[in-house]
Amino acid sequence: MTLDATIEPRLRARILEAADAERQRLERNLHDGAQQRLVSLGLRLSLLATRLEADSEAGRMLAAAREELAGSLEELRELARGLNPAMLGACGLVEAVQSLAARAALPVWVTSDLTRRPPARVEVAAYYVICEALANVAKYADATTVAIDLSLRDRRLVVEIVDDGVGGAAPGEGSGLRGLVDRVEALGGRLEVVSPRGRGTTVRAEVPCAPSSLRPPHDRLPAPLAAAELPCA
Amino acid sequence: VRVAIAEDSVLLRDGLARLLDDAGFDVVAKCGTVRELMLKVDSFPPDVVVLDIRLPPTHNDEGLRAALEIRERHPSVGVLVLSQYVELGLALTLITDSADGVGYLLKDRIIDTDEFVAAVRRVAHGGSALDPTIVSTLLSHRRSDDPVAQLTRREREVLELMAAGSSNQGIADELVITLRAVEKYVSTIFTKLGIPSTRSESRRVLAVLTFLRSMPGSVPAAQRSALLA
Repeated sequence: MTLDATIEPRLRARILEAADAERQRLERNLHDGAQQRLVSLGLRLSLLATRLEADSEAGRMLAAAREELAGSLEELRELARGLNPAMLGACGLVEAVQSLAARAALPVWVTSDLTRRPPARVEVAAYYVICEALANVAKYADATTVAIDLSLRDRRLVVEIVDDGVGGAAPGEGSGLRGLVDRVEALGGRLEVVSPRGRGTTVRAEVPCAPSSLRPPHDRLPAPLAAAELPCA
Repeated sequence: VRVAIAEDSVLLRDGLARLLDDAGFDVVAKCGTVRELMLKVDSFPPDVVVLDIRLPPTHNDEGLRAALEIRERHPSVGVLVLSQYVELGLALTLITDSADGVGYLLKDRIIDTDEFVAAVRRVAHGGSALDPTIVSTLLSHRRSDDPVAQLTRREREVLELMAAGSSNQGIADELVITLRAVEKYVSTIFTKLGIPSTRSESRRVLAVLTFLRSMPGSVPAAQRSALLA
């Protein structure tokens, strides 16, 4: 019995890691493959456009094709963004969450007392909790405002997402919360949803985060490196 | 104007080179890696570098680091970073001290060739070019009591163009108004927002972004405790 208790979280963590690596790979492929090709295609169309009269029939058709291409690129970008929060690695959790907040359909207020960055695994878990919680707010809560708070308390990263919507959220019913519970528990943390009917919903995740594991705010941007130190491609 | 390009997709690299060459630029380097780019830039600095934010080997942010490095070592070389996603945090990293000779655009913008070429030229001449989505992100969800809310629709349009790095003449052309009208709008905006006025067009990019940034969509304590109650 004790074995189960120790192995299971580790196994879960490995499954999650594998899934994350796969998402990252997919996103990379979209970026390096489809996106680059579509941008090149757009460039060619633009070069072609300079050889056509803008108000000729062919010119108008070409303009329409370019517009459609621009739309496809945008859709592709949003798809890839959802697969892998590229922002998270480069800028850190707080910036990534602020960026999510700015793109949300309703006002989202972000507060944080983080001055240093939690380990990558913890950041990813917190980020997904917030994404899912925001998606649920948009789908079910009928809320007017959301407040997100990120803080470090007692060697834990505490993430709280509070809305002023209709409440009554039941975890486990296709809300995507189940996957989040796995993600948070795999890191030894816990996820809690408080959602009394008519009184909004609070999603709260706590993930262990030792002070020694904290990284400087711009971990991905170390001191300038000399050209000679750069790895060969 | 001499330009160096760093982009690991051969297709896109050649497309960019062709586009800039057609537009009258002198394409002095076409690189697929940061290492190659740094060697070229160090030995013969161009006027401007156009580079992808994700370059080998990790495709994470090598391009951004190279851009910061070039700004440090060769302050007169403009850098225009192309990115799959445009994020405020990365933009602010690039323009920490100044927005002179800095560009940060969504990669898709290349397709609008005229605007893209104009942006490269602007950055080569020490100006700035920030993606419009950065400014619109900063302007979304503003609180009703914040000074931005006091701007008229027209003033807001001027603010967006100004923050993206447009010159007064560029704003006048875009909005089809006179240069004098633009100057008036700009000074009204600065007064309403309480930003110290500056004549340098790229310095004001930083001033405006810093201002918008200093008043993020953070909830006042009272409102927050009401939500949490």
